[in-house]
Amino acid sequence: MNVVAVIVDFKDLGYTVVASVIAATAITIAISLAIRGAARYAELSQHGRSLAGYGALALASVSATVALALVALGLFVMIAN
Amino acid sequence: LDVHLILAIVVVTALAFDFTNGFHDTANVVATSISTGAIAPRAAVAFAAILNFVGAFISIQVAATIASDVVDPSAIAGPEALNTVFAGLMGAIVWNLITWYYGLPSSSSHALIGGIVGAALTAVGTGAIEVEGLVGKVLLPAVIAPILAFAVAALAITISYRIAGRQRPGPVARGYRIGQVVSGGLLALAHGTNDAQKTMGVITLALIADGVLAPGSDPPFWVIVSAATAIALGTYSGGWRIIKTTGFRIIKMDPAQGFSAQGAGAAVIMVSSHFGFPLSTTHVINGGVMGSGIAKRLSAVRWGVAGNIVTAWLVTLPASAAIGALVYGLTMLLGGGDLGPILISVASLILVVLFLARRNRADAAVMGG
Repeated sequence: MNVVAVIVDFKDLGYTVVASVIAATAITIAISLAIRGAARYAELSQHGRSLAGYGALALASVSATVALALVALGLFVMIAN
Repeated sequence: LDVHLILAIVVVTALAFDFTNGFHDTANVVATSISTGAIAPRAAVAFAAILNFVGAFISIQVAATIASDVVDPSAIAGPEALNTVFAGLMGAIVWNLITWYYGLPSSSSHALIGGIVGAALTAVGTGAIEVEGLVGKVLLPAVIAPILAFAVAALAITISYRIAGRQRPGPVARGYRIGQVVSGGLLALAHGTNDAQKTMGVITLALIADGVLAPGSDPPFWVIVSAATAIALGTYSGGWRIIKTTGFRIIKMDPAQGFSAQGAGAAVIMVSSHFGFPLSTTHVINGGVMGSGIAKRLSAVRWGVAGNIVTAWLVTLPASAAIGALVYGLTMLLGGGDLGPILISVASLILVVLFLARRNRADAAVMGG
């Protein structure tokens, strides 16, 4: 077991697993919320403007911004390495 | 003078491999976007080529792994070192062409590593192999990465359906198609980052073995630019035969599944590149495609096609290693100087021209039908 531990850098592999899960999950949640907000806004705006419609638009805007910020952060980490 | 002529041949061969890697792996990057209608085929390929080029400049960790953690440059030093690197590259190129011809999305990266290891084993023996690097940075990540992409894609599609699944299908599908442009772009960037660096690593290994660079050196800028250009041109050339296998035959996808598969693939490849793991982008994206399909229903995945792909994966390392060993033996039979690489390069070039001519006919048939 010790030989395996010496040959294999489990720390970097562990970081890879955790970081991949976190990055993909965070971006999926942000983009899905943006899509949900946009779809909801489109549906509500057919029946006239409402507070709920603006709320959905805000959700879409904030989520899309967060998604782009997450992508930018990921690229920054890569380039800064 | 002989040594430098061989060095030039090795550099050109490495760039040729990079080109074949690009067109062989185009499917990994664009197939899901095309199959869900997120982006038109030619636009997808052009988009991927540009981002492949840009991605090559993001990191050099994978290049460092290939240059010094798979084969010990000092163990293979001298004129025959370049024959070894050349033979390894030929092993990868020949295997890439064979799997491309039969439409199997096997791994270009594993073909490269298999070819180099096979040639080094034949040239020097087991002493040339960096077991720690080969196991810890190549073989284990090779097993973990597609499983990780599978799990991450399954998680991502579950989250996507949970959050947006109850909205009206039209706007949601349009939203995920836009999302796929982002995730597909990231995947192309990740592909350029991980795969172009393998060629940079091989050229750097050759430059170190030839004494042009000191051991442990980073790839020179001209190596980065030429590797980026070669993979981008290869990607632009496309690979319709493999696109057909990956994008349409493994699973019929909706835009949310395509987004999840590409996002999972991009995340795994990007993070792995950060830590210097030379992954198979083919394995990762196919893992993502299957993960996004299995979350919906088990029968959505066409297991027969997936089984063929797994078989291609399993035989890639030993097959390319055997070809690499064979080519090395051939160069030694031809005197161990520059004659062997020259003759083999010319013969390969003729073979590539014939293959490309056949591919163009196959492309025309796919586009027409």
